[in-house]
Amino acid sequence: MTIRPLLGAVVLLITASSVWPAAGAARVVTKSSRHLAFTASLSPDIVRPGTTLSLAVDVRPKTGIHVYAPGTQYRPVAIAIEPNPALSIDEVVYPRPMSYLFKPLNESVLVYERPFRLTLSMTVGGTPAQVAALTAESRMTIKGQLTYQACDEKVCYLPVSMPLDWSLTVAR
Amino acid sequence: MRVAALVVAWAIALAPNAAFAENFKPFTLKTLEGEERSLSQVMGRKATLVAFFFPTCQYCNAAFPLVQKIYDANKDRGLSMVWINVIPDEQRLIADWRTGHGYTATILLGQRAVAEDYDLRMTPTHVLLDAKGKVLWKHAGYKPGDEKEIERRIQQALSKE
Repeated sequence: MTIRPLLGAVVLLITASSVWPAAGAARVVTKSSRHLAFTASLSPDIVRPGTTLSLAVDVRPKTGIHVYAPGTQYRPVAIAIEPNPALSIDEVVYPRPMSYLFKPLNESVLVYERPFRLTLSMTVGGTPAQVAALTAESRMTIKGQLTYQACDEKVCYLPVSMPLDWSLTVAR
Repeated sequence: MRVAALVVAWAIALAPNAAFAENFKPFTLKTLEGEERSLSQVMGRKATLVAFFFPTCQYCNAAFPLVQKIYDANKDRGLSMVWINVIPDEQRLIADWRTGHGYTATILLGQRAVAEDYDLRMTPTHVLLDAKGKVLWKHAGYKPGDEKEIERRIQQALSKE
């Protein structure tokens, strides 16, 4: 009788879309859409001036789906982090894409159709102005989006934007 | 009771969504030149083919040269063709895209609400209307050969009195 609520709580924890691990570890967000699933991991979760944040987004396109890589005329998968006065944001690092022959146009395009990882580095409080922006805060919010436009063997889906959101502790 | 529930479920499954039920939802949208066009202003004498698209949609780019040919061959028989862009931030690409491909369809600029208004999730989506704006046929996506079905449906619509 008493085990059922406990099991429910365990299942709830496992299936939660965001997981808050112990201090100092990565903050992991898992989401899915009808085209793909992704896990976004940001670490560390306690920051101070000079901390380099590493964001890794592991994207798993669903069967038959491809998303575009940079370097084509199409809309590439991307991570967009909202500007933050305490943050410097580097460029997204992409893995090597694969070439996909789009037969109806006899056109080769660069895509991802298998699991791939995007990475991005950010520096907290790397300049005096950024340190000043950080000083008054005990928490730092980082918001962004994973954006992509997916196609399968027959249709192109409308572009999708999936929000990313973390709240980090600012160490004194 | 069980039969009634099945009938209700069947009816729900077959019911078209609101935007495509019976008459096509009217619109007033801008052209590339900034002029407003309503549905009634762009409708053909006998039939209208509406296509929802965006210029970097690969399947739109595969379908549209063929759809343009169908339009060229039938516009004098009362066919109108309207393409509605569904991604506002691609509007800047459309003028060159249209010129580069020699497209002559009326192109209208959809706002963000267009996708919701017409329950669109994919492109191209073609909708064929009769002379009164009633939806005759709807087709999402494109694979080689689909243009034959588009043409067949258009011929059916144009042959009606």
